[in-house]
Amino acid sequence: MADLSENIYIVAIAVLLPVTATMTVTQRNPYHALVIRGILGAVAALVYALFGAADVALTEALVGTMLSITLYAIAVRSSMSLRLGVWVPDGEAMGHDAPGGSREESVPVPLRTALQAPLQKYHLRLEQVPYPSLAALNHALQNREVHAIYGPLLGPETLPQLHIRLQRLYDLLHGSVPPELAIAVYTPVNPAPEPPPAVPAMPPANSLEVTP
Amino acid sequence: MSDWMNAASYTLMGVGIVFWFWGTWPLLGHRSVLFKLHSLSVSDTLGSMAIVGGLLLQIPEEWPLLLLALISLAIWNTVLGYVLAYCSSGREDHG
Amino acid sequence: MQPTHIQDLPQLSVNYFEFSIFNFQFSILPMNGILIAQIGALLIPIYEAWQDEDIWQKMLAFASIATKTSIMILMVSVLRDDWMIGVVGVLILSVGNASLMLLAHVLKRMNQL
Repeated sequence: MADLSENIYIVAIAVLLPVTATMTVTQRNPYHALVIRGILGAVAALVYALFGAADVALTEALVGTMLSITLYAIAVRSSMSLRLGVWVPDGEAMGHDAPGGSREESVPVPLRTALQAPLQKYHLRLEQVPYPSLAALNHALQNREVHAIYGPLLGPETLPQLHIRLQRLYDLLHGSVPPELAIAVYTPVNPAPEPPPAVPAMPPANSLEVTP
Repeated sequence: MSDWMNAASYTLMGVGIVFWFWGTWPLLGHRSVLFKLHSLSVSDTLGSMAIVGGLLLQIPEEWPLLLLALISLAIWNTVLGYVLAYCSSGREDHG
Repeated sequence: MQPTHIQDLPQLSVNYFEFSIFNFQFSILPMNGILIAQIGALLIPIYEAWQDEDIWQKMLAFASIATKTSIMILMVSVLRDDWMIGVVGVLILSVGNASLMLLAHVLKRMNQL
């Protein structure tokens, strides 16, 4: 009993570690989980220092908390996003078409808010990728550079189209696209992605070996 | 260690603990981030500095270490408060 | 029932706080009592980080916890008279805030897009 009553603070601090670890794994939002991971790192450094492992505590604080949180924040930010290709013409053409419009407003604000509502549920970000022409926009969708494209794809008279190449994203989004603003279309691209361009200067001896 | 030094050290630490509780308690309320940040940065920094001062009276022979702790507390917590306020209030402008 | 372990301890100049909970006799040093009070103060931001859904409130709790844990490491180093732990505590105190600032800037950029 003497050990417990003398060192009751050790028990109290050691209990904090599983508590914060449980908090970390029960978070749903990845950014919230990152912040709680920082708290877990601070508590873990305290526990390690309490048990006399000063080097482990320093490593936990510097690498486990600072470096890994920063790297994970950047990784989560760049991977959990819906890349939406948009048509942004050159500067003078844009001045005629959309006066006062900037690159950020190439998707009209009501449509952007309508798209962001279902995406927020899955903690996804809407990232707009500008392309200079409609051909480049279509090419980007076919090459899987973007998840969806938005623009007057069928001509300037009709409503702008929102082409989504992933079934899951289409199911998620087509219900919330306002019908007076855009038409959501599921556009699957060919299953096999284009192979990367071959090395241009192929030696002739190599081509002889290939039998069709 | 003389008796009055011991008493002064424990008093400083107790004041630091009181500052900690005083500054951390508003975190639980439903106030704005900036209000909580203000109370937290003021009383957390002052309380921590009081505790480190109490520790300095306990072991005066390790004064360079604890003086470094005092200086880094005073500088970093101020800068961190400014950075957090800047980052958390900048989001309203951009939606 | 008189606890016997107090007589076994080396004689210190400080007094023990003695109390009993559920038949357990507790006798704690003032430094230990201050450390236990610090753990109590540490529980408040942990609870706040758990129950609040706003990410900036969580960041505030994180900032509070980062400062409090490094001060507690310093406290433990004085309690044990171990300079190595003290150096680590000061390092964590001065460097740990940098991760908070980096994370705050990344989160701010995320909210802008």
